[in-house]
Amino acid sequence: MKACKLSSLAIGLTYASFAALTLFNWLATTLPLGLKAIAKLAWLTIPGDLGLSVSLLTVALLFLSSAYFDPGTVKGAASMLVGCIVGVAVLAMQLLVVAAGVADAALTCLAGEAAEYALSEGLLRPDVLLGLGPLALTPYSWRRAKSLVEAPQGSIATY
Amino acid sequence: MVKVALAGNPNVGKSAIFNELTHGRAWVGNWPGVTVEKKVGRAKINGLDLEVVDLPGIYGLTAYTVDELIARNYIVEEKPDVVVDIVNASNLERNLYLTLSLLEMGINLVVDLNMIDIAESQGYRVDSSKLSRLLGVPVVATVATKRLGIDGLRKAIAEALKRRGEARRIVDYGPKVEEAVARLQSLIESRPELRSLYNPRWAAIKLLEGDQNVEERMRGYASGVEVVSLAGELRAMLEEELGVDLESWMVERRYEAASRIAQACLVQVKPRALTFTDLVDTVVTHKVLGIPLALTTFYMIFQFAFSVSAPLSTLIDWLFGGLLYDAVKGSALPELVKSLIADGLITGIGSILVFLPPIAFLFLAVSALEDVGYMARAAFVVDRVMYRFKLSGRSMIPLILGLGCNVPAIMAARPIEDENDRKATVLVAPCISCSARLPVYVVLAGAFFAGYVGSVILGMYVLGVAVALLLALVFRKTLFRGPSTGFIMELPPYMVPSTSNVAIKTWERTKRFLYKAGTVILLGAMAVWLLSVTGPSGYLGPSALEDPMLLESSWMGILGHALEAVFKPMGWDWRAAAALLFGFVAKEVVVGAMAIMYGVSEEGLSAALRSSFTPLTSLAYMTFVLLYVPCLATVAAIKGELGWRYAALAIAYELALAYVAALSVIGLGLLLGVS
Amino acid sequence: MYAPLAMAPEGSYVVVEEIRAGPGLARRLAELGIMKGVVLRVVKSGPGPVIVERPLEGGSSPSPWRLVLGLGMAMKVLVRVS
Repeated sequence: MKACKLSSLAIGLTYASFAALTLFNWLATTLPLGLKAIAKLAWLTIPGDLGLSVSLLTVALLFLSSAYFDPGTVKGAASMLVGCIVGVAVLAMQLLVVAAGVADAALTCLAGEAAEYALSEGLLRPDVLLGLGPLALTPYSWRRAKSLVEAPQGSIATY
Repeated sequence: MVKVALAGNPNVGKSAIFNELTHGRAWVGNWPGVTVEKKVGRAKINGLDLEVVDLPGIYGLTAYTVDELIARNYIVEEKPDVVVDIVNASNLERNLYLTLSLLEMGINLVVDLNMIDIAESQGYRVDSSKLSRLLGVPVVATVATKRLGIDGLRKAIAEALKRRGEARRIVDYGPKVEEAVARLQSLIESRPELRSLYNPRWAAIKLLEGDQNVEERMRGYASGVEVVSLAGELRAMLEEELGVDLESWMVERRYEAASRIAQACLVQVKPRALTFTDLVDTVVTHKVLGIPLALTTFYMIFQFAFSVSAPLSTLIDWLFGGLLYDAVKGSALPELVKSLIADGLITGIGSILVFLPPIAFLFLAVSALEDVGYMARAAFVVDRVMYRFKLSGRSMIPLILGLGCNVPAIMAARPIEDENDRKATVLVAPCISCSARLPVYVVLAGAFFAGYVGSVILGMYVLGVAVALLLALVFRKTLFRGPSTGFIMELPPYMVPSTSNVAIKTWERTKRFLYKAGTVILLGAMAVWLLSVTGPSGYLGPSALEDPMLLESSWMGILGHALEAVFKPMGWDWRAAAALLFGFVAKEVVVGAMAIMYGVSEEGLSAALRSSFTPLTSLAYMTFVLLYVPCLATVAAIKGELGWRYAALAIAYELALAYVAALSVIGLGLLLGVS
Repeated sequence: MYAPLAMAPEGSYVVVEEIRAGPGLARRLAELGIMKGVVLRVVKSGPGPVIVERPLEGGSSPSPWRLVLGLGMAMKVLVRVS
């Protein structure tokens, strides 16, 4: 149980920091505030996209809530499960976007024009890499939620 | 022709059953006089050819909504041989309310207990034989999404065809009311001309309820007038005695009966204190967590719709703008015909079809989320925000759909119960930046705000939403005054989306866009072409499309110059002005029109624009395009929902708003020292 | 004293006492099962939109389908908390 709480906390904080970074980059590239964007952190590309920042923040909040409510309770388990679902969804969406980008470049080539696509830029991003965490955690959080749902009446901490 | 009608609440799987019975042999039209879709199909049961009609989803049989009236009138006038009432087994009580209402009409009813898999997952089983006994009609169980039980349904329909419908008295309205009903009933029965209008008991009940539609029809006969006035007297008397309005009384009694029957037939298999849905909802509808979750969902819908569909748009663009265009131009047809087809038809249609992928993907995402059940939660979460603008959470879905195309967005506003909310939502929807406006932003932002393109476009979208909400507030405080009643919506349990349902919904919404493309825009594209190749001096020839000098003397050019004076303060030249004119037909056409007028291909447009615009004027132009005049198809949709006067209002207010907004952008820019 | 549904505490059972709405809305509410005398359980409370369910008589299991009432609607339904 403790391990569960700690991992939720860890995931939550990681997502939160990247959410902040992404937000910073967005501000730097959108508003003429004289900020300089941190486009790369080691080999990770940090895009400056407001929507991405909100998504990362959402996952962060969900995992942090899970730790806060304790994953043993209904609210805690629900937060963890929904956090996993959203984390995986964000990962999947980016994969789709990358696939679409590749397809687009391929089509443009077919049409006779030159095109290129940087896979590394599309894949080495926080939404993809961080998303592996929730992905791994999904079966566990699903089972945890199921066990709460199937428990006999009266033995569940009510919300 | 033997007729079978399908009735039931919304969201009970009626479309799926319809498809199972007709196997796709169906066509769509309109119910006469209204914009509600009519689905008719053919089915073959036991060698017999049947016509199957899908009635609109309804909760009851009052005369207050268009959908209910359509269903009722169909049953009364067309007299279908069998009516199948599709009931959601996991929401028995509410669905049985309609069943009982239908039984009172005296029709040949078969009850289709659908979605029993969902009921099972909730821990319930329905005793269908008991239900059948209590209702007095055959009951069949099905799971339409898994194709289970359909044969049983077909058999039941075949059996029912051998019988005739009879009125069933299941609801007891209390001794006093029943007495009144009996009196009216016998009076109606004594007159042959009235007897054949409706089932006498049903008519009696409706008259006591004060049903305007039935009253009107009855008054068409001298004997009917007598009946109606008697009903009025009886009603007044009963309301005095019971102390409550008669209609509510009858609705309550009916619901009590539905409740009673549901209790009797539901068998609890697994006791559950907490369902999966409950668990997830603690977070999804959480006061704090629900909001970022909703925002993330919207963002992902957006990504899916625009980024993931990009290759398909590229493909279409290549097909139309490249292959087909070149093929026609390289053929041996006469110049005029070539230009007509290539520059008019193909370019016009192509420029619209390029939008099909993002629009379809958007609708796909929204439909899938609706099926899962998330959309209802999202409406719950945004309701509080919407309330500040005097709208309800129900207005959210139309506004989101508006991001794809305003036309289905306006149609989606129909189920909003509050008339004032509905009108405000419909009038405000065109402010939401639809995908047709996107190319204008891309081209202009690309020309002047390189590096910030995404942000400028985002800004336009945000502006559209902000204006829409603020305008809704204004409308609700002035024209459509009245407290915001909020909305009431069913919150279904979370379900794995059924591919057929989602596909059907997506197709129905995308279809509206395609109709618009196929009709209005086609005409518009041709008009653009025609006005470009002809002028006051006569026919100019297709070379006008290549030669800007020549173009200036065409009708397009003349009109553009005429408008130039109007747009002087914004600094737009005649070409930009003329392009706006064509945007009235369809905003998709603006970029194409501009390309023609600047004499460049669409790729070279950015560069060409730099000589005619400045960053400030381009920003003003984008704002204008965002807000001015809904495209023709949207106007038609508004007219269909609210009538000509509101459609005219929409055009007028948007024109004024756009002009003022564009002017303000210029003014603000000058104030800030930008140029 | 009756309070609007929007103010009812979360998790409580309430009895609908009065519906302060025009006939159109009242009918819509009735069709969906909310009428005078009906018992509801408040799943998610206000201030703001409300989620309620109609518990089946005698059963302590939740009925699977719930209703969301927008803020405006929830203010018009007056209930007694039991």
